[in-house]
Amino acid sequence: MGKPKQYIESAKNIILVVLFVTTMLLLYFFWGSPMADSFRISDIIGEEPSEIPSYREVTQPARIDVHFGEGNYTVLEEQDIDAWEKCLQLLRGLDPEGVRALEEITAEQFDRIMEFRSILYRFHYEMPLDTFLKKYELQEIPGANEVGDFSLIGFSSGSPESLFIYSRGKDKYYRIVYDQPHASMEELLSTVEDMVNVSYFRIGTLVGRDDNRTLVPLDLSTSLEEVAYSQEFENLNTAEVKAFAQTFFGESFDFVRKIEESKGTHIYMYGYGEKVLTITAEGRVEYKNKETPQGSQQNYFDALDSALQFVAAHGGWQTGDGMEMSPVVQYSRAVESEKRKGYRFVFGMQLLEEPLYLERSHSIMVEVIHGQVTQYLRDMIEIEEEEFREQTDGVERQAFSAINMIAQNYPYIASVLSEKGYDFSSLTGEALFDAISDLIISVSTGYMKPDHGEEGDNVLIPAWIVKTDNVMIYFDLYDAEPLGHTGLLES
Amino acid sequence: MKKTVMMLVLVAVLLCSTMFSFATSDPAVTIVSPSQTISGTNLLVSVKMTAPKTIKVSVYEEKEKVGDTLVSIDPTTVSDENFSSKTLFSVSVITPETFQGSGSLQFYNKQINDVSPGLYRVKVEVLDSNNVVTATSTQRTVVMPKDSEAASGSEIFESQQTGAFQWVQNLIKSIFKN
Repeated sequence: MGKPKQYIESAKNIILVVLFVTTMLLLYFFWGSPMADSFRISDIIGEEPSEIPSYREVTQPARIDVHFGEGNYTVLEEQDIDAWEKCLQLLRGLDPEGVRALEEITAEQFDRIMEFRSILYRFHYEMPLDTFLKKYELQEIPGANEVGDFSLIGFSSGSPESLFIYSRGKDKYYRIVYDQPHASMEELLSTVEDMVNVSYFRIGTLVGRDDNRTLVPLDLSTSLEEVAYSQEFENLNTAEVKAFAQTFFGESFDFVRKIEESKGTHIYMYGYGEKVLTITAEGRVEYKNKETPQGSQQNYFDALDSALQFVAAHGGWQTGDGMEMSPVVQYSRAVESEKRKGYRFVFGMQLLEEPLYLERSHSIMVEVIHGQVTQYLRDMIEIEEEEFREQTDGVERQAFSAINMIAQNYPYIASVLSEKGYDFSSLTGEALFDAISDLIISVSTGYMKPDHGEEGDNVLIPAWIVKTDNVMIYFDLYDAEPLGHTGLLES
Repeated sequence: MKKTVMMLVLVAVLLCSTMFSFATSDPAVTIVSPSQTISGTNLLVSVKMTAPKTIKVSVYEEKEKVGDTLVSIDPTTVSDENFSSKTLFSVSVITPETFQGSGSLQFYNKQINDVSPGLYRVKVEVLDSNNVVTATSTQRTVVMPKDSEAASGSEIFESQQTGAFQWVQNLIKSIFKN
């Protein structure tokens, strides 16, 4: 007779456990958001932290120019032959005791030596050379601290034992002379020469002026076509958006004021505006933290790491749905606020191999001062990978001539740059064209997301991207019609 | 009688000037590239137009006849020889291309690959709406073999300080900086 009683006790225990779990689940449902999509097992058991890209992944040259000699150039796509990694390998293998000299050279000497077969790794921003060498565990270069920041590394077969560096901030060129020629760069040049390449020429060569050295492709065929996209946050009244907003305020989220504007913008404000998160109806996110940073000053790469971690913890580096995109630092600059120094990083996204640009916006922008993120902009989109591949695997078309795109649109470029403070009032015709083409630092292709506001089709447009120091101006890839622009200093 | 002579002279002048204008180039069309001498195996043709124009671009290699065959001209002898006394034969290098520019500034560009050393001529004809040639520009260019890079770029830095001196200077700088 003892056994049935024992079974009854076990059954009671099981019922108690089931009741307890049920109670917990019901509490979760009714105390939390009572929406169907608010229940996620991952929320209960804890989600895996968002993947953080490394500083190496996001630090890539904006372009790699290869000169075959006699004025014939090509521009390498990074994925072609892993050319940047080959440069890092070379730097890693250099013997610091083999440095014979580190000397400043003139711009004219630099130009003359680059008339030989040469390769230039160009960044559109500057990094401190000594910190770069340490972070990448590369061989020390005696005197690197004299160089300061750099935005270009170059090799030339005219001086195969030298490494060339340009500091844009100082507008100075340097030559580091080793006791051995850099054979691997010669090999890389030969490999590129044997490949099928798109021919690039200097703008100066095409228009009859020697002094303009910016490269443009002569003929370009491409299969880029319009691609549909959707915003990361289309409906702001979801648990997903709430959870995203909560990441900025943590435990104090219950004390955050939420304001919903008539245009659909949601504003989350903590205290007297020390921390403000704004999410527009179009899904553009802006976060500002005015609290005094408590940390100490960071060097470039530590600030970059802070930015990478912050984004991973606040929305992540990928969107919930859609194809994976690769973030890269598109631009960075030193910033200062109340005598505290930091960096602002603009991150661009790569759609497989094509960069994505946003009119009057950036995919991600982070400002880090003394380890604290003081400003964060997020304007991410989602694209169906299958549709993207279908749209870009088609027949190639001839892009509009790059030089004629500039020739056709130089008055428009002048008007955009005039808004940014340039003065072209005394120039017209060819003189204006020359002045404009001198300000262009690169011409490339990519996808551009127009800033339609609430209206317009959600499609990315294949575009020519004309880059000056602080502005990117977009033109339709096939008919060269102006599409808009983005200022790099704006936020 | 005087009036008749004057009229005839005027008509003659007008006709001559028209004929002359056929032979001249259009100021709105300029051959930017190639220059008079280039080296390598690629020939870049670039034509600048500063007005809406339709142009027809032809590229020829100028050859001379040796026996029954046409041979390329040795580019090293171009400056020495007087070609006006020679009969040159123009061999078309590309199929002539017509380009219509509609803006106030545009460029026609074409790269011709695998060009052998010799003497080349670029001819740009300006066409009117009836495809009649209204002006012609030509540019002769000598294509030299690709420069050998045996001549190193070291001479570019000859005026620089010697390596050892610079190294010592850097060392001293870094010691005192730290």
